[in-house]
Amino acid sequence: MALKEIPGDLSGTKGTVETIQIVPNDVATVLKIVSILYGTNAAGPVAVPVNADGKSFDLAILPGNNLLQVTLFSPNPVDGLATAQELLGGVVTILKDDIEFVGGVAVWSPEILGA
Amino acid sequence: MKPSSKLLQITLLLISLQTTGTLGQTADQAATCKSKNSHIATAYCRLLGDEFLRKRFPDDYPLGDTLVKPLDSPIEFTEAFFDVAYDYVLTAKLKSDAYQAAANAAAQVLSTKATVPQPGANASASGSTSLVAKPTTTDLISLAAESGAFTDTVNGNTLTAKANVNGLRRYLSDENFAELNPTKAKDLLQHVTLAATFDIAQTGSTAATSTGQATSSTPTNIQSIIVPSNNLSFSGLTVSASVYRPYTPTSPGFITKWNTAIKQNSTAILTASGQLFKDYNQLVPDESRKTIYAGPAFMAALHLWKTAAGEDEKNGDFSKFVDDYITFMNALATALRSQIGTDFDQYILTVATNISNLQTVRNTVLDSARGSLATFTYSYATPTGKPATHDLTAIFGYVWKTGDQLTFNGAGSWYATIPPGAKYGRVRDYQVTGEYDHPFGKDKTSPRAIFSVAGYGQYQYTANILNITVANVVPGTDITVPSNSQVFTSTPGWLGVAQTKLSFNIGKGATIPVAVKWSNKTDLLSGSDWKGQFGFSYDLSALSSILAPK
Repeated sequence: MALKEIPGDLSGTKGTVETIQIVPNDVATVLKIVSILYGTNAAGPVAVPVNADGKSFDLAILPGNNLLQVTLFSPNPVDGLATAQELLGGVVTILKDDIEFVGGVAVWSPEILGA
Repeated sequence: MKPSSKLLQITLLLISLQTTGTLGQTADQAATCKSKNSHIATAYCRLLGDEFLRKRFPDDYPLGDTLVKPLDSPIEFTEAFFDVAYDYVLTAKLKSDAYQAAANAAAQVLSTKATVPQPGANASASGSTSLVAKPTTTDLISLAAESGAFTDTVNGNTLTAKANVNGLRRYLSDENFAELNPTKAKDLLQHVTLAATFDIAQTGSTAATSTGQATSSTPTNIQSIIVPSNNLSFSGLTVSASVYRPYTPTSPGFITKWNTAIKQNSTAILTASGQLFKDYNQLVPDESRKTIYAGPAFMAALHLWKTAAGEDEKNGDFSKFVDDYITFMNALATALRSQIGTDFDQYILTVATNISNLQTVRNTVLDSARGSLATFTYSYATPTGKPATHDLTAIFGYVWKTGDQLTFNGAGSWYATIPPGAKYGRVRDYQVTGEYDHPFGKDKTSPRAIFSVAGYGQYQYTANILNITVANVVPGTDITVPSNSQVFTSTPGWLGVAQTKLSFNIGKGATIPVAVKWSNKTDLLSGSDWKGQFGFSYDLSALSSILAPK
């Protein structure tokens, strides 16, 4: 089951693995995920590996409310926008379509509720 | 390049200009945002403009997008409240707390970016300890005191002050250190360095006219006397600018280098992003975010904003659209302040510094991926007792993953003026130099010491020239010395220097270089020469008082 936007949070089923992809909104924007940190429990955040394409990652949903931080770098001299989306069963679910690069850096920090 | 790929690049460039450069924000919209005199309007202007063109509020604005869920986007959120938080922290006299510590941490990140920095003077200065000019110097301000000589027969002592132009501008304008979203002009200034070198403890003499005998035993025919002098004098001014290779972000070759540079800087990226995660979670903890989003004050403000935004989009009123968003964001800030307390403003500053660090790391990655084409240096030198020269140097450097560095210089020196009747031309000499540096210590970004071996070759078209005055004439001779008198010393041809050096890093920003050099001859004498060199330099970026805004 795909992640779902609810007021204030993204919601998912705890224990499931969701594949999230970040794509540029225009073809001229080059982007790469440089860091993914997830989890605000006592153990602290864990670094989530980035898939080989540099634009997607597999997220195992933790129970409760947890912060996800995805950091992106772009070499483009003009800052663009990017979209976070999930592809499941051939259906694309847009999670956020206005991730903005500022000075070549973009940070997406949603809370994810694992229920 | 094939015509088809050229066409593709042009097409991509046009797409980029059409979709990225003007994305969702017209010039009118930008002017409207600016007229609001609000950092909220500035920080969110592009997203507001983008949404205003898409007009989704009357129907169904996405729940996850920034204009209704601003806490998911820390960069814009921090930028919107940075100045208010900064003023608050200063007013509350909390400078020495979180912000100060964070600013210092940022300074250290910046000041250690050069693998093998060169705070001292170039080889042409009389007391320099650096035979080879380095492409990187300081990010802010550095001072160096050095003693030694390379091509000179007599040891010199120099003081060198270097300043990164952007660092100096920031310091003089009391600008906030944790700057978000620097402009391209400021980024260019970051690659320009100024340096001024002064000769110290130069022993010399100057002629003075006698106005009479002070004792009866003094000979009456003494008209002119020689007075010893010991002065600090201006020795030279240097401007350096680094030029990076042009690049096309979408080209496969560049993307390969970009990915490699990201991998090489992965530790710095993880450190910076980890700190941001920690500090942002303090600014907006999980439970606070949940409480705020579900709270009646925020819910009411969100409802008002969504309703007003829908109306504004229908009416085509961008100005009111921006006003309504400012109202909404101020309501959110009020809710956060009441939830988190006075720490809110300090956390904003800390998070802003973290984001600034990330942008610095990204710029380092980009510079690394592009590769430095060269650093070009112009110097105007007025060595004591010698004619002034214009010197141009091209510097090429290569840094291995291990931190080892190879640097080559190609340089030329030209006389600034040619006096009437001169028996020499404009060209003084050409130089080629090379240096290999090896850092010691586990942390290659801040090594315990750097070992260097360097070689220098200089081809001189004429012998060295020395300005002479009556003070240079052997005492007892009765020779008149007109102004602009010069003599040749030593011989033209090749002059070679070899140097080995150990530079101790005794703390963040402080360095002690100790070196020994051999040369086949010097400027005044034809015989070979051994000399020791010693210095002390300090990068002032390590001082928090330099960085702290007034």
